[in-house]
Amino acid sequence: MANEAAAKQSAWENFSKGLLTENPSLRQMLGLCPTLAVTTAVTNGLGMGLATTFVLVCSGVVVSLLRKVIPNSVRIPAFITIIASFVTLVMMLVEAYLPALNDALGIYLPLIVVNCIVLGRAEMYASKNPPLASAIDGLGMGVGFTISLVLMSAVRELLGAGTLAGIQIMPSFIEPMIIMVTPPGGFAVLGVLIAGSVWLEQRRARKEGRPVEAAPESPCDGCALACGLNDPASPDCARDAADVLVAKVEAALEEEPRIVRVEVQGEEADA
Amino acid sequence: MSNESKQGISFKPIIVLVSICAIAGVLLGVVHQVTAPVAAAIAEQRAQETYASLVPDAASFEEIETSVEGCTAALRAVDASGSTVAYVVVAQSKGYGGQVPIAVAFTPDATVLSITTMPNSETPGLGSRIAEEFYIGQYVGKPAQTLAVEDIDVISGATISSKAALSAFNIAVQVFEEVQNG
Amino acid sequence: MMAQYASILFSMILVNNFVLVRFLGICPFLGVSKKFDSAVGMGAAVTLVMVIAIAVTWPLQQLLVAWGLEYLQTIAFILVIATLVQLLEMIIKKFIPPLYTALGVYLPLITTNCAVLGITITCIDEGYTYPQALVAGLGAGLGFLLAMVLFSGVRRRLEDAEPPEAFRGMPITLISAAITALSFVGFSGVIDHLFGA
Repeated sequence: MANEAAAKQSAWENFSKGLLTENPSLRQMLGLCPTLAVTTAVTNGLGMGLATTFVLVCSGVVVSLLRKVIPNSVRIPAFITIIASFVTLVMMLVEAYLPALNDALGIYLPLIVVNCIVLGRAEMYASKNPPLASAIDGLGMGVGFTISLVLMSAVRELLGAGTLAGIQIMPSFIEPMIIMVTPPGGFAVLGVLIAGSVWLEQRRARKEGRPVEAAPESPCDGCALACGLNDPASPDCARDAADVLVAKVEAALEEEPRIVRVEVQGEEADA
Repeated sequence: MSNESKQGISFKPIIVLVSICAIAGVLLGVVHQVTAPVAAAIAEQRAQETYASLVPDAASFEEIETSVEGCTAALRAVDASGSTVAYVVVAQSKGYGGQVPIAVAFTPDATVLSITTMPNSETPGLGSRIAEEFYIGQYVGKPAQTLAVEDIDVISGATISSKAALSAFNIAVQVFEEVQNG
Repeated sequence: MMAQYASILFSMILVNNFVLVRFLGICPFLGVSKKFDSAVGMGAAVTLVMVIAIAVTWPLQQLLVAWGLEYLQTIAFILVIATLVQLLEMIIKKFIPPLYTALGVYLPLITTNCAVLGITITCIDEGYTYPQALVAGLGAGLGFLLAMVLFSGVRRRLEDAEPPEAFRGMPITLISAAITALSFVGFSGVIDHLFGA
């Protein structure tokens, strides 16, 4: 019984980590392209979130089932194929049964394939864990992603168009701030939301006497995809690649005298 | 990628990868067989609903051949007695978030009977407002002649979407003229 | 004719800038733009891969259409791009070592960059001809490069800035990106008037 309770507990933890502490968009800075692009209306944000969740859960289960079959050397192409298949499946289903969503999401629907979150979870979690745990992990991440998309699109739609899910909320004498639904508004709202989540976390950390952390410098800190693979143990590790790259560039530059800005990234001493 | 199997060429990775691709391809083919007709039927049904809302008097719609670029469909609306009550043209032009298709119904005596925007990816609350009456309604009753930007009120902040709808309208007018002249 | 290509090129660079207007390739935009050199390298590598990817996927799409397999577009494109990047890396390493020193390290990072897949699908959706698609790819790549270079300048200034604690790192970077994006909003409409497209 105790074991069962522990298992339940850990399943809940496995699920809930995606909601807040490891929220893909707000904490890990993953999947920022759709987070910025489709969040001009709540319905679009919700649709994108659910489509991504579906792909996350399904590809997580399949990757996990095949984790002992797929040779390490071709694992990334194999994962991409599996993910792309589920994305295509979602595209077909949406086209057939939710045509309005298909029109609204447009090109961003096929681009779920290259959403850092999906390949990231396949590489970092599903390829090392059993199917059920992978499904729960995918569900948690997907729901967390959906929540941030809905939150983000609610702010943008309310301020930018005065509506929520198409229903007029703001009194009509308040002129909507059109900039909120334009690209610059997207960047700004995301920046403020991330700052908000960092502020909450920092306040909690202070109360509990833990060290206060700033927001990550770049998505590389959590990104598994655009920058190779961010698993420190992996030979393809992104941050290693970035370091190698900086070293190489600097070595190349040293050959001909040129001013190279050497930047020392000190640890935040006041943290 | 890692270089673990450098000593001898191993075929296992290739076989696994190819079989994953093959299985995925076959399964998707099966799903496609199921969803493609549904998607086509839904698209057709939506199109018919749009046409019917434009020309409520029409009993049926007959397709007309046209070669004008940007026109996706041209139809003759026929009433129960078989006489032509209107021509419906669907045309599109590039807007902010992709193609902006509109459907225009012209009366046989060359005025705009009704007009509506079709589903598009324009920014909700901004470009999508071309669907609202104050913009799209201004075309109704105009003679079937191409219009310039000065002839219509564009939506402030959504000039690109407004102009896209306008040029789609102008394409529709061209199609209508072609249909009328021959 | 020339005007048409110029219109596609400049609208891809300025009006439909892939990063600042279409939100594609945000991860490398935020991740690799801290240093000017890496911003240029990444931008150049993306431009190269975009043009080559279109050169391959556009004919591939014609094949898919001919065989009635359009629904496999996403899978086919992403696998072709992934393979292509690997091949390109090997070829450059073997035959053009200086280029490899400059761009090689960035190549594996772009395999699954959404801007590359995005431009190939965009070209198909827009119904571009083969030359038009190649020009669009070049424009999208140059637009990405421009955004990276501009933003690396902004970020250098940011390092000396002292925002409120919660805004440090990513949030203030995003706010600056918003202001950079704002400057691109002004370009919409410019191209129409320049080339009368």
